[in-house]
Amino acid sequence: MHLSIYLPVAGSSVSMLLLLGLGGLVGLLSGLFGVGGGFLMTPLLIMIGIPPTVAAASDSNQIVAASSSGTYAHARAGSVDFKMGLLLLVGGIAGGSVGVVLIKLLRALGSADFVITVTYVVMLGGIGAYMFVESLRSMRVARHVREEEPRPSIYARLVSRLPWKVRFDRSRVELSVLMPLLLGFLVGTLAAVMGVGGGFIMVPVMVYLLRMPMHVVVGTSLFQILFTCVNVTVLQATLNRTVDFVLALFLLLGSVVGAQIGAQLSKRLKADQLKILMAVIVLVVTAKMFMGLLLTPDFLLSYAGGH
Amino acid sequence: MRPARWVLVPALAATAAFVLPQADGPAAPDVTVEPARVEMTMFYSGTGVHVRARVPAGAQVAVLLAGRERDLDLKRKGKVFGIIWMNVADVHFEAVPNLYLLRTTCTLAQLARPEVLERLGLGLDALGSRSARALADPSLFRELARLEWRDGLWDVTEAAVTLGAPRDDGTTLAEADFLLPARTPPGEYRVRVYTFAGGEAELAGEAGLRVEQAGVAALISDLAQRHGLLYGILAVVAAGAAGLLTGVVFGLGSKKGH
Repeated sequence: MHLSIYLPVAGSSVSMLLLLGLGGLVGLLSGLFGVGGGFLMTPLLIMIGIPPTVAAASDSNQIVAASSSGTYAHARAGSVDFKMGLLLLVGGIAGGSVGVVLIKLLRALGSADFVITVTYVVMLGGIGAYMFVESLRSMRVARHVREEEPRPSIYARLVSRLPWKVRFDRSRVELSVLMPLLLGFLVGTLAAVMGVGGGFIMVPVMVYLLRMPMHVVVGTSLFQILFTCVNVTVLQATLNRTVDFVLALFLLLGSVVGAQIGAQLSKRLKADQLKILMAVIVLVVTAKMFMGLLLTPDFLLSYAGGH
Repeated sequence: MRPARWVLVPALAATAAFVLPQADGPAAPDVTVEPARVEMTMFYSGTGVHVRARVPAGAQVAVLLAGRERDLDLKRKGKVFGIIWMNVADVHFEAVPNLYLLRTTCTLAQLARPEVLERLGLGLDALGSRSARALADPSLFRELARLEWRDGLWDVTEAAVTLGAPRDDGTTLAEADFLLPARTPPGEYRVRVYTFAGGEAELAGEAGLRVEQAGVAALISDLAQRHGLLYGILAVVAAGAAGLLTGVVFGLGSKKGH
């Protein structure tokens, strides 16, 4: 029975069902939380024997499908803030370019791997732990009494003093345009350093720093991820020749369906439930990564390209 | 215009002398590889290769299926601050074959002395003495071998060449089976048959094996390698279209929900 498919760019053969399943799982997360899922998919692909560079590039390709499917579903439901998304995107592209230069500089200094690994664990662990604690707290406190919670007033005051305020109707917030631009820049830089799309950093940034409602966060994040991944896929295909479309195709067949189911589910779940679920997933990935750093590896040598 | 017969006949004779074995020389090297050409199509997941060779009766045999040699740069993991495992250094190996599958009739130690095996490049010790000679820590070659072994690209199996009954002409048929893994890089490979008798080693014959991508797999690979920008745009358009299409289909299905 021929259930394996040959991947011409990766140069290996993988079970079709496994790829469809992986795509479905990550697509579900994508539709549910508004993340691309690269932080989960790329390590999984490496685990099943795909070369790291091909895994990352092909994953970007499949995220284009999952995020366009998810963006469409959320746009129909009116939960995409295009204005906010575009500003974050502009900041993100500028930040991504700075991040690429930064990582080149670090590689020249010989400390890139260390910085990437530490950034990964600190960002994932920090975000996961914060989301988890915050969601638990707000679930315990009576609903819709957020005003009573102690908020970082210095941050709020600082934000309110910034110029060029604009009303973001979909997000129901009034903010300086500098906020999404700067935060987009920051996330873009971190994402480029870590070699990921940055959805799992962007979502908490939108929730906690831009104070956007959770259902708009998911749609807007997917909209932004869509354009980031289009850019990354074309660049990887042109410069590194590492996009395996056959791999991406099987992943995306699973992920577009998963993304739709995720988008439907996200409407049924409460914001705090969504946040705590994502926090748990992020924390599990962090724990797995942390254990990988502490335990003696199976192989003391690895092919260049992954981190 | 037809060439004159007086030109054609000597030319054919010269070609035949070059290609065909000498009638009065030693037995012709008779190595056959089946299949001699492997096509990697979309459903390729590795394939078996059968090698047959006529060898002198009574000799021990080694059959080597190997690919081109290239330098290889890998990352070595080490402990940082005594706790965290991560990539700490680059490791450079020389002349590493991209595929190395060896089958023998007996153990390598029974086959020949280590220096003979090293000269012929037979066995992992022989490979290591070449590939890791510039390394400060030659034991890292064992790690490389484990990595290649895991991917099925290197394999040494002793007592895996079967010998048939001796024939009247003093030869016998040696046969070996190989499994080409799915990760075999496309390219030209050589199958070499060595015989060992009285401490002496001899290359009994060799044959080629061609592994190439075919059909849609070749088309995609070619587009990706030669027209990266076009390939990237097509990949993005196809992915975006698939995503939107699914969105529309699911949207129609859940129209009542909104």
